[in-house]
Amino acid sequence: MHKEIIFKNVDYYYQQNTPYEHKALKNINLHIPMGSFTSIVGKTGSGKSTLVQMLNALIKPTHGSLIIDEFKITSETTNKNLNPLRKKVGLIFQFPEKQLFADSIKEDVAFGPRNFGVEESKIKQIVENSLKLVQLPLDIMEKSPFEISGGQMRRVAIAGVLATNPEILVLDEPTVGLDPKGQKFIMNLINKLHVEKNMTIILVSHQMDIVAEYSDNVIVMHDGKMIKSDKSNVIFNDEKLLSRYNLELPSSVKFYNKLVENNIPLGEGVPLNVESLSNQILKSFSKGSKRNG
Amino acid sequence: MSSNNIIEVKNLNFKYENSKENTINDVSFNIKRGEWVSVIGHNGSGKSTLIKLLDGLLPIDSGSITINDNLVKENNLDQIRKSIGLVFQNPDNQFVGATVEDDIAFGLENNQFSRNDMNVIIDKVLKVVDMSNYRTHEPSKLSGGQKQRIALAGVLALSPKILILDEATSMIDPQGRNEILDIINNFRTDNNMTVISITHDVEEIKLSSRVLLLKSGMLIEDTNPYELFNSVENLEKYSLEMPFSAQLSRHLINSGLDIPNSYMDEEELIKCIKKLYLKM
Repeated sequence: MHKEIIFKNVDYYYQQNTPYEHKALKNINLHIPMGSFTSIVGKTGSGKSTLVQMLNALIKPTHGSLIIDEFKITSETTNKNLNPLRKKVGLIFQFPEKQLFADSIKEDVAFGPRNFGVEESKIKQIVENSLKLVQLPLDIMEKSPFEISGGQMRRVAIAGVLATNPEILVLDEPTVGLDPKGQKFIMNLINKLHVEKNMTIILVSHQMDIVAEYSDNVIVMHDGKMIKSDKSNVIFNDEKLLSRYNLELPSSVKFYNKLVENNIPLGEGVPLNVESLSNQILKSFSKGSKRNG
Repeated sequence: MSSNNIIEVKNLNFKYENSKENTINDVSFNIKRGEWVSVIGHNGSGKSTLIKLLDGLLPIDSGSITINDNLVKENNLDQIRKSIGLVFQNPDNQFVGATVEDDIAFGLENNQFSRNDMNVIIDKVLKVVDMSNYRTHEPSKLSGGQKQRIALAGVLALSPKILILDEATSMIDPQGRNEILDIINNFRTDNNMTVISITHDVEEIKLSSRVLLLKSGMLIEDTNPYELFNSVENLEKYSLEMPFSAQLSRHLINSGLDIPNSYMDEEELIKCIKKLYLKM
């Protein structure tokens, strides 16, 4: 078993051999550790969404190959026998609530496990567990998914993917369009799955505060190319790289830089959230007071 | 003579037909010309209903609204709507033209502008939103941020006295959002335009001089960003995120640092930290 997801010389062309041919991914070589929380950042059109759709073989490499555990996916791979891969990799699209379709919330959440051949006797328990995970009350099960609020619909859509018990969870902008409270709820849920169930998380997001706060690794994409893949503290320490690709710095790093500009010495290494920044400030104060004594 | 207030709302009430309770409940407030006012509150607090009442899209049950010295009523809705420009969350629902220029021209044609005037105005507003190179592009092929700029240009072309933003920046990335907010703020100052924004976004609220809080159809607070950010309780109650500087202040205060308990923006907080550091 591989401990990593591996992209090897992967190209992806939309509408190949037509006048509209568009190279969405160009020679991607990438290792994503299993069990990590990895975020993918980059401007609109940089190839982020194309890259993550490959992870459960919704699209296949035009050239090169992708290895996830015992699965190797190339341009030759047929859709036969892909069910085990799709069970392993749960993919949550942008605005997943748009894909709700069943008459009741219960049926919607049950669709995935049923599709993967889970015995009918176990379905009820799975649906209940999944709704509990996203903290929806069980008495809404019989309701239509279209009767509930937008934030709740998104939770139902996520429950539907969790019901298939994936090892790798891929999320494309899961917090867009939600109010701050809804965003926090979704991110805490994802982080909990990562920490408590050791789920591998692959997150596409343009919200740098969220990326900095939660990720171990960050991948920077630009114009279909993988520019850099590294630990998140390394990426966010590289202001040049981020400004070159028009990426925002997290609020904590921006504030850290302003303090340093104002000659307040802070320790090495940029803070990735408000807590670390606060600790660095306190540390520099206690050092200062010792010095002046 | 035109009065100092561009909007006057008095004892406004509105109830939807199938609903038991009033959606707008005895609401009164005035807005001055050139003000930027944020309207905040939970989903279902009545924010969007209030906007529809201002624009005459819903009939008033009792009370009154005056827009630019005109009473909002059946026979002068044309007049009212000429004063108000609306920009929504999803610009896709707002496009009618096949090209960017057609789309902006559509609103102008409805207002009987000559072909010549139209061209001048289209040039001008595309420049304002920094999209002059996209004049002949198809709106549907633009990025989210670009679409929102074109939607805004279409509204600004009609020189509205009042611009209403209904969560207009919630779908664009932070950089795009800041650019659009800058564009709007500059246009507002140059043209003494009034801005009303319905929002959850802290950056957007920071730009406003006043904040109206709605709850269950009632106006329960008429305040400003400083007062609002000062109270953690307020922020949690209205599902808003604290500005970063306020989050950091709270952490530092909890760790025993001698920092004032009132809201400071980033510059003020940096000054305060620097002062403390130099005192040591």
